[in-house]
Amino acid sequence: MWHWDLTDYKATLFARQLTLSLESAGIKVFPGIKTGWHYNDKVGQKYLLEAIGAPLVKSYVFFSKKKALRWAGETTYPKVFKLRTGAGSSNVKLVKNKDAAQRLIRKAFGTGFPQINPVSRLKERLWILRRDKNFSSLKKLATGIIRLLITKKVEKFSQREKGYVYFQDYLAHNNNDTRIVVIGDRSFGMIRHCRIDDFRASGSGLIDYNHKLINIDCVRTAFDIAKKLNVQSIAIDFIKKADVPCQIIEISYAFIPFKFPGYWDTDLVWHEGEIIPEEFMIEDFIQSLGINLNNKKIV
Amino acid sequence: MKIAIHDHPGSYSDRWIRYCQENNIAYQTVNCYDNDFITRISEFDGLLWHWDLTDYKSALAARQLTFAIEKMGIKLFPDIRTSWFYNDKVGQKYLLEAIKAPLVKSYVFYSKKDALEWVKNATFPKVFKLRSGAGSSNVRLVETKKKAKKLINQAFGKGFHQIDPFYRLYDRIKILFSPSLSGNIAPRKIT
Repeated sequence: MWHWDLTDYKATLFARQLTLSLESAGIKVFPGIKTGWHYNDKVGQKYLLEAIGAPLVKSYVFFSKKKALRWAGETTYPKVFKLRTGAGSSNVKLVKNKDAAQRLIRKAFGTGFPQINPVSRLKERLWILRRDKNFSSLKKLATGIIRLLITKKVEKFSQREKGYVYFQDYLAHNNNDTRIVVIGDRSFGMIRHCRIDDFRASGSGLIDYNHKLINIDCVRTAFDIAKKLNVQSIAIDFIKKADVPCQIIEISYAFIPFKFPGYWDTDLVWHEGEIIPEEFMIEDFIQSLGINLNNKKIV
Repeated sequence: MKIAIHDHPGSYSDRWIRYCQENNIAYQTVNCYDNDFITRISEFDGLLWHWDLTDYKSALAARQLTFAIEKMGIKLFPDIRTSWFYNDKVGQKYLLEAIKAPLVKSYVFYSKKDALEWVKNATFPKVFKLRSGAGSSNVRLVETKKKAKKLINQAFGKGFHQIDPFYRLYDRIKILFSPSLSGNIAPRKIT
């Protein structure tokens, strides 16, 4: 079991390779390749979700500047620009018109974008200060300023994003998203509200864990996707507007854990009582090895 | 049955297309990089796509497309098992070690400290390689500890370019003046 994620730049150099190799040798891995290959890769997620007919928010990817520019001249706005990598709404921008889109396209096929942008990180920390108004958020802001000058390893070793450009349709009049997690035959989730005066919910920290607020259609869809993808763990970010079926923004095997107040089973029955997602992961994993919890092999 | 072939002149697709024509096999040429490719490929039974390191776009999308298309039950060449370790010597090290294949002993480090520690007790010469590169590009003989340390510092500093234009030029000059090509070795004949 190996919880790797985008904060560990080394993992992107070899986590998938190691996983594929171990699985070839018959060793079970968490996250297995089916669970982890599309992590932090929105381009991969677009292909995969389209392939299984999942309700992904319409997404566009271009590997040629010419084709991208032509598309930008013909499409409608606003659109959402994203890099394939990034969490907590980093590397996500609202694009209001053709000129802005074409500027981004030229940059994508020119110097490219850094995976970690210290200026947007600083803006993000200003938001946290505005939200929390406490000492720790002030400290975060201060380190954000220092890190404009001093780069950490993860920035130094992350390659620039270029040679492709990715956009998503923008869903207007929406002030939150719904994150649903599925681990095995259990599901739980939360509502994330957008930052004030912003269209981005992920990473805002304005979270509601009240399961009654979650639209059960999202849970049903999440179970369906997890089954189709045959994954050990998946967090799916949905946008759910009244009268419209839920739509997916992105997926991730890893998510920020929390003591959720309960879970739904596959019959969509709610089980009240605090749960710990990491324990679900290891429980399922041990079971998949054919070992019971008394550490004896099941024959 | 309908086959899709990614048409890229100069790649294997030239022969594949000719084969289909000569044998009356239904095929259609496609462009895997199209934005709506997943929708397009859904009407096919199989996809032939010769991508390689000379096409920089394939490094951005080929494996991802392969995973997704396999999920649709569409057969591919190369499939993910065949291709995931292509042009990736680090991946190959893990895979060949995992199946206990007789790989020349290979070493990989993700921290400067670990790499420098290893150099202390390593014997030389060793061969330094980038994970990517074909035709001996990005491959160097390292004769001393000092040289190894220099390479390690660069790897964890400004890094290496996948394609080094100076080295390429040097290699081309070397081939031009190579004595073995001045008549001693005949072009290989197929008998």
